[in-house]
Amino acid sequence: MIPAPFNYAIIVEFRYGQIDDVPFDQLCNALHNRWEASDAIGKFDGHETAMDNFDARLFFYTPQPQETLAMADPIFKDFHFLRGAKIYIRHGESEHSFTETEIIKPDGERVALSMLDEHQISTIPDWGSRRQSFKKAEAGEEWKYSLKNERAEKLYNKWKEIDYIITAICISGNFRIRQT
Amino acid sequence: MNGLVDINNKDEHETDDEHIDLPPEMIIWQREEMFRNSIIIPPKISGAEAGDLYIIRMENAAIIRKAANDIYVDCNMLLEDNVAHEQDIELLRSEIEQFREYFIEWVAGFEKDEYSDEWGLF
Repeated sequence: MIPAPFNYAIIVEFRYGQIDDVPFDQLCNALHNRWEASDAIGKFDGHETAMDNFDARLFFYTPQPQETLAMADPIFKDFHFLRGAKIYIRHGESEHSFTETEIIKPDGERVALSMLDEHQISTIPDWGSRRQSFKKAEAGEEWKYSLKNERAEKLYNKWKEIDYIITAICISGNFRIRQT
Repeated sequence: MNGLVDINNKDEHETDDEHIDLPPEMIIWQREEMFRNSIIIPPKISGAEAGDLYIIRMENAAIIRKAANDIYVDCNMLLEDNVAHEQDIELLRSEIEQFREYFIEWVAGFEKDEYSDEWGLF
C-alpha cells in the first residue's frame, strides 16, 4: 500500500551477486543520506536482499517519480552492480495497478524498457560471471570437472533463454515473441 | 457464479478447449508465480556447482525440477485465459522439453560422496 501523500511506488530490482555486503551498504547509506536532505522528493523506504545476495530491491515512495529518480541517478551511477537494474514505477494503490518499467543501461543511463526487446528484459547474469566449483580437481580428473561444468553451463544458458520467453509473457502477455 | 467452470456440471456439448474465465487477480498471480519459479532456477544451478556436494546438488536439482515442471503446467492456464498466444506457449514448452534433456545429462554426472543426508532423503 502506498502511504499518503505519495501516489507512486518505485521498486529498483537488480542482481547483486556479491558475498561482500559493504558495497550494498554504501549504496543504502548514500540513498538514506540523500533522502534526509530537506529538498528530497518522496521517501526512500529501504531495501531487501535475498539470503544468498543473489538479487536485491530498493523501495521508494513519491508524488513525482521522475524527479525522485533524477535525484537517485548520480548515486545509482556510482554503483556498477546496478547496471541492468529494472525500475518499476507503479501508480495507484493496487499492487496490480499500471506500471512503467525502466532499465539502467551499461553506461548508467536510465531508459524506458521496450517490452518487445526480449534481450533487455531478462537480467540473469551470464554463466561466465557465476562461481564454479570451489573444490580442486585431483590430478588426472580435471576432465571430469570440466565436463560437469560444461553440462551445468549448457543447462544454465538454456534456462536463460527460457527466462526471456517467460519474462516476456509475465510482463506483458498477449504479444508475440520474436523467433530468433 | 464467478466465471469458473464447474467441471462436474459441464454441459455435454462443452469441450475442454473452451475458454475458461478466471478472475484477473488469479491470472496476475499465476503470471507472477511463473516469474518467481523462473528466477529460482539459475541460482540453483550455479549453487549446485559451487559446493560440489552431492546432497546440495540433489536438493537443488529437485527444486529446479519442481520449478520447471510448475511452469510447464502453468502454460495450460495461460492458454486457457488467452494470457499468451498458443505459439508462444508452444515455444516455451518445447524449450522446457529441451531443458529437461539437458537436465537429465547434468544429473547423470552427479557422484555420490562420503557425506550422508541427515534427513534421509538423498
